[in-house]
Amino acid sequence: MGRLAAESILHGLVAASAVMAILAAGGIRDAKARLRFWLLAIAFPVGFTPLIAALAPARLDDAFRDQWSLLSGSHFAFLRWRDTKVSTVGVSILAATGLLLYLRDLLPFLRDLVRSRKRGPPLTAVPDALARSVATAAAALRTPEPKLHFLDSPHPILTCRGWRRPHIVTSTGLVDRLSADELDAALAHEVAHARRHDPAFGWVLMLVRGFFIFNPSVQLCARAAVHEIECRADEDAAAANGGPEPVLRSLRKLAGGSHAEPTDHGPRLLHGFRLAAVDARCRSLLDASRAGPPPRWALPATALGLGVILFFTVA
Amino acid sequence: MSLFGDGRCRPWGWPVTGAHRTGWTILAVLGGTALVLRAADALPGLVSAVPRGMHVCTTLAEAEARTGLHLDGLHTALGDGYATVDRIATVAKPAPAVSVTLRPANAAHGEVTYFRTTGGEIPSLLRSPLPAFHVIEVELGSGRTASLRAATTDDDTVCQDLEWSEGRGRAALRTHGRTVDLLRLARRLVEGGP
Repeated sequence: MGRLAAESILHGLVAASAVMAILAAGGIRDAKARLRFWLLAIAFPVGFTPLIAALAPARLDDAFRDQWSLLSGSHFAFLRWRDTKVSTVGVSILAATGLLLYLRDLLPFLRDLVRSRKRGPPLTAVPDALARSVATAAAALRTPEPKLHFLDSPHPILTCRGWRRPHIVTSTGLVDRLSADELDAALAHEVAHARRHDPAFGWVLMLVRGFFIFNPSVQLCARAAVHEIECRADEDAAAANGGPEPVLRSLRKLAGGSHAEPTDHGPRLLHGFRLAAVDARCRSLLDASRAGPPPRWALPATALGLGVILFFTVA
Repeated sequence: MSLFGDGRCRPWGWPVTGAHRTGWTILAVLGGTALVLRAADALPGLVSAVPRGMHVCTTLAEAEARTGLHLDGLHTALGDGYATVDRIATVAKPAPAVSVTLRPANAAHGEVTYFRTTGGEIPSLLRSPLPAFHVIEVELGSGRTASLRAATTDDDTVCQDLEWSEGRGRAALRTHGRTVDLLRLARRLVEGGP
C-alpha cells in the first residue's frame, strides 16, 4: 500500500510537470483545453497508477526494474539516513505537503459551508433588472434560466450553488457595487457555472482530493483545474456580453482592486493571493480572446505518451 | 527567443502552424521527461558505483528474498574465521545471482567473496572476469569437482577463483588469500551447504 501511494505521488509529479510544460511551451491558452489537460494530470495518479498496479504486477520484478524501467525507486533503496531509507523520508515529506495543501483549501471551504447552513441574511424580492440580466445571459449561453436568490446584505455576495439544480445567490451589496454592464457580466459568469454544473464538479474534485490527501500533485492540479473552471466561466461570460471588458472590470472591482483594502477583513496575505489569482484570470481572459484551441489530437497524444512513460516508471 | 516565435521554425525557416507547434512541444516535453527520468535513475549508480541492475542489500534475508536462494547457512558453513558480512549484492538478470563478501575475523585469512546463481554462469556484473593463466580441476569431496583458476591482478597480487556446480546453478569463491584456505572453505560449503 505504501509503495502504491509512493508510486501515485511519483506519477502525479511527473504527469503534472509534463502537463505544466506542455501548457506553457505549447502556448495553450484556451481555458477548456487547459482544464482537460489538468484533469488528465489528475487522472494518472488517481486512476492509471492503481490500474497498472493491478493489471501488470510484473512491473515490480527486479528484472523489469533493471532492464526496462526508466526510473525505479529500488535503485535508490541503498540511500539511507539513520537506518531509514531516504526515499521513505522524501515520500513522507511530500505526503505531509499534500495534507497541508488539502487543509489549506478544506478549512475555508468548511467555514463557508457552515456559514451558508446557518440562517443567513433575509431573502428579498429579486429586482427586475437582475432577473432580466440572468434571463439574457441564459439565452445567450443557450441554457435554462437558473433560479436566483437575492439576499438583503451589504456584502457583495455572488455565488453559484447546488449539487443537482444549481442556483445563483447574490445580494444588494453586489448591486450597489457594480455598474449595470459589470453586473450583467458577473451574473453571466455564474450562469455559465450553472450551465456546466460546476458546483457539483467542485464537490467531486474535493472528494478526489480527500481520497488522495497524501498526493501533493493531485492537490495542486485540482487547484489549477478550479482556476481553469473560473477562467472558462469568464470566457463564457465574455462571449455572452460581447467582449471581455465588463468581465475584467467586475472581476477587479469585486477583488478589491490592486490598491484597495481587503474586502472581508481576512489576512492580508490571503488577500494578496486572491488578487494574484484574479490577475491571472484577467490575463487568461485576454490571452484566450487572442488564441484558439489546440488541435483535437493534442490531449490523446499527451495521454498516450505519458501513459507509456509512467508505465516504465516504478516506485 | 522562441523556437517558433515568428511562425517559422528558426534553424530551417519552415512555416510552423499552431498544430505543428503543439505537436513538437508535446514530443519535446515527453522526450525530455523520459530523458530526465532515465538520468535520475542513473544517479545512484554514479554516486555509489553500483551499476544499474545490481542491488546492494543490507541483510542476507533481503538477498534471499530478492534472489530466491538460500543463504542462511553461509555463516555456519564458513565457520568463525569469517564472521562479518561486508557487502551483499544481487542481480536479477540473466538469472538471479548473489555475491557476499566476507571479512575475515583475523589476519590469518584473506577476504573472500562467495557467489551463487541459479543460472549457468555467474554474471560479470557481480564477478569481474578473471583472465586465467592457470586452470586446474580439483576434488571437493562428495564426488564433486571444481575448477580453480588463478590470475595476477593489476597490483601484482594473485587472485583465485574456485567454481563448482550447485544443483542447476553455479557457486564460486574468490579470494586474494591462500589456496588452501579457499579449498577448505569450498569443502565446508559443499558439505554443510548454505
